[in-house]
Amino acid sequence: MNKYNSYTATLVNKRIVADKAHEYTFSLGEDSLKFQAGQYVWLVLPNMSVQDPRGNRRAFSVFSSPNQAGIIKIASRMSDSGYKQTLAGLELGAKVEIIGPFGFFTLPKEPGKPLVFLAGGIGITPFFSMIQWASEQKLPQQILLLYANGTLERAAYIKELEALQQQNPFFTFKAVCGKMAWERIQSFVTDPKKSLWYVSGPRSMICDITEQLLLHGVNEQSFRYDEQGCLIENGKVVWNAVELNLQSFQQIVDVSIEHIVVTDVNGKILYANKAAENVTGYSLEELRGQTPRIWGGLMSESFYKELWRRIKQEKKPFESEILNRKKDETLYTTFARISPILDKDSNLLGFIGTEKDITEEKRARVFLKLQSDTSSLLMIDIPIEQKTRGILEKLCSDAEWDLGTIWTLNKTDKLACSGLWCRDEICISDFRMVTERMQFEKNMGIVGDVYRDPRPLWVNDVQEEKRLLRVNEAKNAGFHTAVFVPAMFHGEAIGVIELFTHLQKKIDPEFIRILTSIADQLGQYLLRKEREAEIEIQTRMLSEVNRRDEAILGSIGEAVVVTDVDEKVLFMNPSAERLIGWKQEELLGKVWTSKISLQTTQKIEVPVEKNPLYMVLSAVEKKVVRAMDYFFVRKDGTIFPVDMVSTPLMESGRMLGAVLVFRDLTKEQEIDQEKSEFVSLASHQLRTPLTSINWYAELLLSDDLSDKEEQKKFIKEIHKGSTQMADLVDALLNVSRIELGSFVITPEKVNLLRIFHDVLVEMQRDIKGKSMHVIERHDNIPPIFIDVRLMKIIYENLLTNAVKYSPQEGNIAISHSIVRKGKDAGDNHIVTEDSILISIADTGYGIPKKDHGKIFSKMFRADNIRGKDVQGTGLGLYIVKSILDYSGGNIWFTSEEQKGTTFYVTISMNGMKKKEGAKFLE
Amino acid sequence: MPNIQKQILIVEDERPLAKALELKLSQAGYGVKSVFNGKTAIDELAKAPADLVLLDLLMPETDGWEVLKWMHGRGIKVVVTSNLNQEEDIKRAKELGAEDFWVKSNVSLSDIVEKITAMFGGVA
Repeated sequence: MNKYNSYTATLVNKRIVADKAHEYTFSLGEDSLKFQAGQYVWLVLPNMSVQDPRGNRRAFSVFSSPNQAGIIKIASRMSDSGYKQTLAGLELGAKVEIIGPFGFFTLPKEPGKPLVFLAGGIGITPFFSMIQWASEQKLPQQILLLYANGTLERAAYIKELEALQQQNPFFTFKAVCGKMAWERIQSFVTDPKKSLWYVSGPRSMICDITEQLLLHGVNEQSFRYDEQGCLIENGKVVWNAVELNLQSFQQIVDVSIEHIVVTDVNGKILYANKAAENVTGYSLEELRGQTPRIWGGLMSESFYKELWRRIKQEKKPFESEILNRKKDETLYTTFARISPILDKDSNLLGFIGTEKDITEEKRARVFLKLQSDTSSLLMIDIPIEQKTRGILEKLCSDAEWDLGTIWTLNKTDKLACSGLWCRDEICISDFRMVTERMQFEKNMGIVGDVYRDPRPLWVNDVQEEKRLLRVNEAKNAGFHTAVFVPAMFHGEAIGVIELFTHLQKKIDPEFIRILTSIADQLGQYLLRKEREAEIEIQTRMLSEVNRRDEAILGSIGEAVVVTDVDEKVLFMNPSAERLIGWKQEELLGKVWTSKISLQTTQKIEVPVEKNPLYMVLSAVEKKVVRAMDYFFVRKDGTIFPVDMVSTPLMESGRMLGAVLVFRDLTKEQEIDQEKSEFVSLASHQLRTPLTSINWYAELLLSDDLSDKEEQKKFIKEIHKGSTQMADLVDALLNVSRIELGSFVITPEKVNLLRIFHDVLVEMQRDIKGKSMHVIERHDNIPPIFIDVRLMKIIYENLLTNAVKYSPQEGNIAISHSIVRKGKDAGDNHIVTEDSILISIADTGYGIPKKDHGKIFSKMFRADNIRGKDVQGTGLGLYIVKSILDYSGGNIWFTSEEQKGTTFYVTISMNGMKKKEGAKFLE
Repeated sequence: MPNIQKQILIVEDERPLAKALELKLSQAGYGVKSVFNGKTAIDELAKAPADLVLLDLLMPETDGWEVLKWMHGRGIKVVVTSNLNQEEDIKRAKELGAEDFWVKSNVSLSDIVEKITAMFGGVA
């Protein structure tokens, strides 16, 4: 695309202005070309009458005034080139194309410094338009024009210039005949440094004058030159009228921005251009006689083999990217083309190598690749650690770093390494180990600094960096340059990426920019992942909670049923399944009340409006409803008393359903029943001796009683009654303490047989009263831990029973023996530890078989002994059994009616189990 | 007045109580017999019906309830004398035909004589 305007112009005038110098005037018609004085245009000739190998366009300074916008005037020295001949041959009215304008010489914006215009020959043209412009605009700009020509005949526009000098007081014009020598110039310009210099003319003149100007301390910025025919714009050479010759080629080569080297057949450098000097850092003198290996030689041997094969044997050009090293050691990449130089017989004369520094291009490519690589790494589905490592690897390998780390805050709010990559050869260093293991506060070290004050930090040599906590390890690893960049998210640092290399790198803003962008992407990714992980944990916890809830609901004894607002079953726990006999899957989605009917105590279906579930779901006020006197009907039709609580299930004011919690009251009702029966029985048992006392007292008090014997008998009955009552009250107290679990067991090390004998002595009167025989047989029993008080209760009860429920002259056989662990203590009672076996056998009435299962129940007295006129509370064996249950002992019996009963008691050799409590048994 | 002497059968397993009752009622002029369990009571009643049965409830083997059921509809006057004092027991006994229900610990022997005399229309 042509960024300049193109105009069609018509030749309206041509005249000779000096020897062989022509002036052409073109009209632009309705168009107007805006240009500044000193600018030039390209003049394109559409039809070449004489062919010109350099084409149909040349550049010309416009010497007409910018005020004459519709007119372009140029001047041209005649030559025999095809272009000039065609131009000279143009007829008036001929059409040409004018492209431009192009800036080169322009007047300074501020007319501060005096200007010196040095013109050689037709080189006057740009100056002419500038002077004309300054005069027309009455610019207060000091201008001195020194105009040199071989002869006066060749000098164009002398008259016009003289006229301008008359008109413009700031303009001085001096015509110089012959060469523009420095001596001549000096005679007009006293201090060259104070002026701004413009030079236009043949190359030789420009070279001379430029040299002189530099010699006299004129700053390069203070002069501009326009080589006649060669315009330099933006570093590009635009050739004009000058013929190409070898010298021209040398110039081309010299000014080329490509690095050009010519070598002999052996690769010895014969010539290198300026660019080669600039790029490599070696001067031509240093390069001459060397081979290009002085800056190259970094590629593989096979590469060079192939290069030589190609250029020397095949004699063909070789092209490749090559990594080179400058004199100052910095690396750069070039695109090189090495061609053989051949004579007309294809003999090898030498080589010409051109190299273009593509380091920047390459870097741009690398950075682009780096960005796309990291972006795609962030997108693909791989584990986060792999991703972080991958990105750090890309950063290191693409951009030539040795180790990369990402630091983020860990759970304890400290900076810690959350990803690291390093080259294999670095892995062995302790730097890596320390980096992976260390964690520090957010404000510590260089990483902490970058985290706190999130700005990239380039450290030329970390070995000198005191803030680096790992400076010693970095020294050992041989690291020099490092870069630290914060990973940002919404203006806050969330981590730091660091890169280390053993190279000494110069600060690279472009890389920092890219690294920052990658760090941000990675940081955001990590943050997102962390949040995702948090969410995942929460979700898992929630489901855990759900599972746990279900597990809890599943394991609790209370039945739980959850329904939606339409009473449809959503959940039932196993207790509910067990109680009602339906499985959850049978009732899911079914209306609860349609499946499970509720009955009153009178076996009448509870009306729906009294059903607690219905009440909760339909009630305007969302409250808990409880019912305790209904029965649920099981799947099999049986019923059970139920205690049910129906609770609305609410979420932010909206009813979601109801929770029905219920339990079977059967057991509780049984216990209640048992309790009230016990109370009634106990009260009955107490009333019996009380009645006896009352009635005999009444008989005693009655007047018609005089018989002393009879009185004594009555008093005996009263005494018997009150003893029985006292026993009963004691026994009831014991029962209460047993049932409340409030009685204490305090074992102490005692001789068991001594306790037994104490009790036996107390019982002597009763035993003797019935003329009974006691037979004892005891093993040697070591002292054991026993609660003496409780042990006495056990002995008293068992011995009393043996005495009470035996006829006169019966026998009681008592033995104490030791039974070893695992042995049968009798009647298939295998003891689980070494135990003492106590057996008390009587030859009494025995226990009827039908009552065997009841004799340890409260208030039970076997039928056969109730008529025997013996007192008993019916609580003794219950108390004995309870004591043994609590203390780790055991009791059982064998019995046959009319033959007798044997009670067996075992107590571990380890003694009774201790039990805390507030009360003693009496 | 041997012919018109009212015969009372005491059914009571607690012998001291039976004895005290026997003593008091015979002093009051009634013909008294004691048995100590339900089975004997039924046997006795089957032989010779009494004018009044004082029946304990809690007894071994055949208890007072069994006896009540047996007597039900046989036209024998029966008063339950028991130390059970629960409402449901009293209600149940009356349903089974008991004239009255006396809680022994709550009545004196004189009370019993008075009540029986009143029951027989003031004639001992």
